[in-house]
Amino acid sequence: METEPYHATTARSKVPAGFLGMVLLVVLLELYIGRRYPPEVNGNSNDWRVAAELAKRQAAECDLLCFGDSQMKTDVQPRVLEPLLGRPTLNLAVIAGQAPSSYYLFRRALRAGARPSIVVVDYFLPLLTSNTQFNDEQWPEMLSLAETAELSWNAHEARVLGNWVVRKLFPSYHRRTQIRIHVLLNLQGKSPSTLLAGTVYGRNSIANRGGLVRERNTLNHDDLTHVPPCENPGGFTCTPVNQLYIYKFFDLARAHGIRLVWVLLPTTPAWQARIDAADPHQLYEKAMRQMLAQYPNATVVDGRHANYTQQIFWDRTHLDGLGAAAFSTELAAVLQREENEGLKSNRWINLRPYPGEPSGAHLEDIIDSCEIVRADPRNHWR
Amino acid sequence: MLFNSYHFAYFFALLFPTYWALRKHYKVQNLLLLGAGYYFYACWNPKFLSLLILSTVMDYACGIAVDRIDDSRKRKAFVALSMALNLGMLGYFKYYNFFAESLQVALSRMGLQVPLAQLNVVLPIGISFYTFQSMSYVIDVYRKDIRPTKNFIEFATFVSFFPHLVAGPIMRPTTLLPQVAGPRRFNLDQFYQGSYLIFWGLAKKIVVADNLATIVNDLFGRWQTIDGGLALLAIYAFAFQIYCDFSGYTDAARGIAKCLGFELALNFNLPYFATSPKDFWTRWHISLSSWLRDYLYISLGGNRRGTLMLYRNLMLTMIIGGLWHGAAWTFVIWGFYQGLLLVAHRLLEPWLKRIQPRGPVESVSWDLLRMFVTFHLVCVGWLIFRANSMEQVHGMLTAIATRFAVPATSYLAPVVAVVAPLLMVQTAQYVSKDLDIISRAPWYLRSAFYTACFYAIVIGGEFGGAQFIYFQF
Repeated sequence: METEPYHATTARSKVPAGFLGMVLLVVLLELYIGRRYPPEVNGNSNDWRVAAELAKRQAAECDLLCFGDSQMKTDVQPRVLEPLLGRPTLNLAVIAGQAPSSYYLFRRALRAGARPSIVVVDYFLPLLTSNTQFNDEQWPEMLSLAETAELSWNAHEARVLGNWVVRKLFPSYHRRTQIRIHVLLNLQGKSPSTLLAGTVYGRNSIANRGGLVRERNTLNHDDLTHVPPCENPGGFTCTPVNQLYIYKFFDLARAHGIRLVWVLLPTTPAWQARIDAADPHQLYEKAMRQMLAQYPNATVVDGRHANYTQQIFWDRTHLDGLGAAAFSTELAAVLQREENEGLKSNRWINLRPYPGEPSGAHLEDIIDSCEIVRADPRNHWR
Repeated sequence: MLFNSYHFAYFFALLFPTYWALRKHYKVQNLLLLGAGYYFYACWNPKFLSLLILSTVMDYACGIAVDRIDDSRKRKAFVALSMALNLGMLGYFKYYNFFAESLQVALSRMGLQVPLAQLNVVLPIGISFYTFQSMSYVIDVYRKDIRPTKNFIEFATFVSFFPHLVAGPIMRPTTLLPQVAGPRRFNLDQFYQGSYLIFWGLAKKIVVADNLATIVNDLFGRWQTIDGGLALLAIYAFAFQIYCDFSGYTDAARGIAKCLGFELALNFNLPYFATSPKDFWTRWHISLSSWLRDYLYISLGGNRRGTLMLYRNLMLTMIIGGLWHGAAWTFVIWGFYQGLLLVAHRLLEPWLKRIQPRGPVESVSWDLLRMFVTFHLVCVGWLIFRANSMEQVHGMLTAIATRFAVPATSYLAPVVAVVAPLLMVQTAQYVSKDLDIISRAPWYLRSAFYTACFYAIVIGGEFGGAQFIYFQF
């Protein structure tokens, strides 16, 4: 065999038939994949999509709106708040929600006609230190092209827009994680579950007016033997894009004369002890106090040291259904008191200690939703 | 900026139409390419752009000086100046810590404690590539192989041409400078070929190399605890990882250059189908091996001063080639090993020719046997290349010899899944003696092939934005 490179040159057609054939095949396959892998295949994606829909369709009827991340979504339950406050409530927090997601949902709700008197928001510290890449898979479920372009511009990251476009054009890329899991399961001779995680989460979220009710988890969440020391060692560095969108959120609330309640949600006692010892959280608290000074319409409700026992947690940072009912009851009491007495000079309110499990509160949790979806896969949205 | 990043996609999407919009003004095109090259380089570390500019200015000036002066001693002095500058930069940034540390260890073994300062510097990306390319220009002018260019922009564009700036192929001034110095025409056929090469290069990098990297890093990382089967699998996987990583980069580089109307040299020609170590080095990193041959091996005397000197020159060339790859003893030993293979092959060549079978079936079998042996000899080299120490090399070879067990499917399947399709394509290229067999296949086969590559990238690719291995050299 000759080792000289060999490139026989032949005249070729000016029409790239091979490429055009590929385009045709790819279009057909993408259409198929788009149908085969709807947003429901991914719990988080579907959650963001449902929240975006709720903001557009239901937020206008509500007087109290909640925004934030999974802690807000699991811990603050509209079904508990509504009867106690007498205000229609909607939870628009999303799993792994970041400052921009809260802002865009809030703005969307306002544009859809919502005029809430109170908004409740939380910002989970580890998510503040992550850039927008963290939610690459979720942004296309929630944001429009214009909103994505705005986020991309504000984040100084062209990648955000590129990611949105590629994911919208190519469902195979957007759903590659699920496709890979299915391929792996098929290679191992297992059949993927027909019960889609997103369907169950979506059902639960709609049944609980945007809240996600976690089932009881009997594990000991205070056992931190194998847990690394603490997230974000070395200081609190909120990414510029998150910082910008916190300010935008606060400005939006102030511009519409809306009372803003920033909630610090409880974690298990052992985990809280670790958090308290870490510098980043002290710096975070300092930053929050500075925000309070700038925004007279804002109040902080601090539930971190309210001693919620580890038994009512689903994991270290999320309450289960009973814990969420207890926390929501306490939050309602604070909001009611504030409403009656007006804003005070001390706008940092520590939640009173955990009063025990509330009686009579039953919320549809994930297990219930799973049963409902399993029993009637087509009519579970009722 | 990596070829497999959004950043590069935006960069090229902006550059490509602007570049061809200026097709009637090739000098403005050159300015655009120069700016693009400097931006491309500065994306890693803007500070190191000064080194690239310094090397460019000095070699441009040395080239002109060497051409204008008749006095042979003065001409040599300018060549020496160019070499001192380029090799000095390379030595300072790449080799100072290695030599200082080695010297310190050697002295301490003799009982002398001499503390030598260690430099806290990052290796400027692509320095080994652009210094070699820039230096070869002055040598070519000295040898009167080319006339020096009077146009500084053209020379600077030649040195900083971004597709091959940081990881080759190392282009000769005789090949690339004339392309920079003349107008380029948009050629649809060249554009298709370029697009195909970018696509195929990215597929090799993202699908094969990056998926294998996970396995290789895992197995090499815990080499003390794995059995011989996994050690062998790790070496095989690394052989294909490094090949697809590097050849994927150069395919993409050649493709991008083609889209801009340039032709870059072929850098890989089915290296794992080589039938001897000598054959391997005419197929692997062709631009480096030919550079070393023309500027080092021949300068050392080549094969003109007898057999012993020939062997010495071969060994020296390969050791320096090994050291070029990195500042570590494992690279020196790897170069030494490659030199030994070349010398051994030269010694055995007459005997191999004598026993070569004549019949068609025997001849094919003989070639297959030689490929098998050569591939495994190369793999031993890759083990030395990838290992952190000779203890690791010894440990993994011992495991293969004494504790061999067939790897579990969970290890074997991912390697086979990415390597088997690659080998199928390459076998077709080898058998047909046509590297462009895909682009000459019927349209429906091409469509199916492109679609398969597309989904291999989209679904099977690793999108961690892993850096190319050869960037570190």
